[in-house]
Amino acid sequence: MPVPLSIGLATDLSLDWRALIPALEDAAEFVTLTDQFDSGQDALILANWLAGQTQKLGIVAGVALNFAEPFHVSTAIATLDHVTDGRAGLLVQTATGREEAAIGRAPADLTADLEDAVEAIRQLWDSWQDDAIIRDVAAHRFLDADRLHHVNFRGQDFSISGPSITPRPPQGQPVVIGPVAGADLALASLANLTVDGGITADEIVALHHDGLTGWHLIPRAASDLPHLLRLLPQLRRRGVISPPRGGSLRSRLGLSPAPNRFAA
Amino acid sequence: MKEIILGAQFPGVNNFTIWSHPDAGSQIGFDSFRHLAKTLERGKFDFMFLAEGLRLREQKGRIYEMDVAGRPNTLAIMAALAGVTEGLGFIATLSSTFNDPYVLARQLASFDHLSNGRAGWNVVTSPGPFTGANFRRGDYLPHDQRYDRARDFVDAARTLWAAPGRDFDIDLPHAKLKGHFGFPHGDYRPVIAQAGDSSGGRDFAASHADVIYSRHGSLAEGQAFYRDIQTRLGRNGRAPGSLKILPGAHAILGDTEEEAQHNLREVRLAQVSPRAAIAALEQTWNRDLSAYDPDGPLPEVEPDLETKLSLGRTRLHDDVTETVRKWRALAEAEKLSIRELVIRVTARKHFVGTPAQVAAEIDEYVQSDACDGFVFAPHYVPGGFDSFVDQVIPILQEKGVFRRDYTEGTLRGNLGLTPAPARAA
Repeated sequence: MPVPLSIGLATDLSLDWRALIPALEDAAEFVTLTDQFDSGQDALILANWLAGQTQKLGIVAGVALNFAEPFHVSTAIATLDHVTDGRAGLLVQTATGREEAAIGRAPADLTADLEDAVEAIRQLWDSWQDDAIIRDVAAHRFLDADRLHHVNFRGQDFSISGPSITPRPPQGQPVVIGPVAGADLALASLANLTVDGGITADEIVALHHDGLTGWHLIPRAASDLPHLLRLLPQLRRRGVISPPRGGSLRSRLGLSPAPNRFAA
Repeated sequence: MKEIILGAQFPGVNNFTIWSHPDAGSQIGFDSFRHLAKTLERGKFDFMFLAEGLRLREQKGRIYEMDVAGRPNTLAIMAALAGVTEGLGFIATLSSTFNDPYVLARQLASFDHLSNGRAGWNVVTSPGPFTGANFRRGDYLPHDQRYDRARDFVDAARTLWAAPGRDFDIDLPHAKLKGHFGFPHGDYRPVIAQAGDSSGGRDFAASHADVIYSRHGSLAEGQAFYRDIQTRLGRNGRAPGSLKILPGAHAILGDTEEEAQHNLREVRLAQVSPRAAIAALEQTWNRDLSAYDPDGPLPEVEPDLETKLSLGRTRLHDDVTETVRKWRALAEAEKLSIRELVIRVTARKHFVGTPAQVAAEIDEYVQSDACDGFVFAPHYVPGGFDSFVDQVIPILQEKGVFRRDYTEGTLRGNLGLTPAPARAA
């Protein structure tokens, strides 16, 4: 059975990102942009910059959530989802070690902080009901305030009042990927393979088996990506990967439409 | 002759944005943002400007319903727009209070890198507990340290931008950072803008900014402000003209001057609906005034000086008692209703007339040193600025005071701040 393909790209690969867009659109269901924190581009900025230039690629931006402000992450991913009309995701990362010095803030209890951040971000995405903007000219009301919600999130180390400043994203809940409670998908559940310029289609076909839910191919260096892209037609012909399906990223990952936790 | 600088703002969360306009579109969809950016690029504008709000406004304990609310993340939407434009610059309003210096400086470096040098940052400080409740540290910064932090923040960012691929060690009271900035080599100098008219804000602009976004309506007020800023620049050892002064403004066009005046009246009535007039008065009175007739006289009751009815707004005036005294005198003298008074006292600088008249007046402001250009805000999205670009810009180009095409490729170059830097690919 062919399975969906995703490609993992670190934002410090020296790639001509703009030139790559057409090939990535045809290649993969989604890309993950892994933020290296002390090297390369900020993944949220790169993701949104790419987003306006794409038509069907899913874009999952990595963020070191233990250092980021959950409020800003929530609005930046919601914006990515608005720009792509429902193709956005968040890759939950952690930053430890030497990055601490860069930012001047000691990390909290990592696991608890990540789980809190994911929950706060999800609540903020739901803080506007889909029908919150009413544009009632006669009553001169743009909004119905009853359809907006203070999330009043209380975590271990931080709290957030809300609501978000950004209306609910098209997917309701953009896809959250990561090894953390509250995520929709762990990358580890896919068949992960780091590829270099020497790998052949035969080697990948040999690793393919029933029961795989997806391939996640990660070029080791920028120069390995063109080689990886050249292998894809063969991998498709041989029933390993399926062509990108399009539609919302949630639907492509088999996730049902997200209900709003605050809607009556 | 000075070349005019023009920016335009995507209008959003304020009562100047007429969401009830028959042609008004989405305030959040990417198509609206792309339409305005493409329109500005067609008009060879220097930049697009975006405001920021980090908490929805509230009034009388409820989220404020009457104005547009809801907007994208400022930096994210501008990054998306940079991907679909080539010559237009971008100035993003971002808080120095509720961001971390390393994270934001790196985001701005990415924005500058990906846009090939078209990034700008309008540095604002944010008010305390109400906005702070959305952020990890809450209300952590004493009011009188807001600009200290802004200064340290910008200094730290500039240190990082100057060190792509190198180690950094920054030890400032509000920015202690040490590490490696593993970023592609290049010349990263996002334009720094400052908005806000306090003396502290002016000093910050004179020492740190490339652009100041001001609010000075009349020619004489503008000229006085312009002179004040040149004096402050001198005190900071900076050359005259090295800080571009750009007031906010609006333009209302008509085929004749009478038609333009009529259009202005229609716009103001749409902006200040009867309910909006009462709400505006409540923000100053700090009282529920919903029982009053918007077409009747001002309330006899005095303002409540103790409570705070409205949250998340910039204060328009510090002395409520004095403001109300003036408004009563004005309403009395000219027999103004509540709604008429609000229309009067919330007026902003409008250029009103035929395209030729508006172009001539804009040019007069710039050539007589009331400013270096303007940041316009259309009153609806996405098409609210089409006619300005189609009708006023060609006249300015014909006069030889506005570019016919982009030549520099960078925001800094558009603004004429320095020769265009050589940039790494």
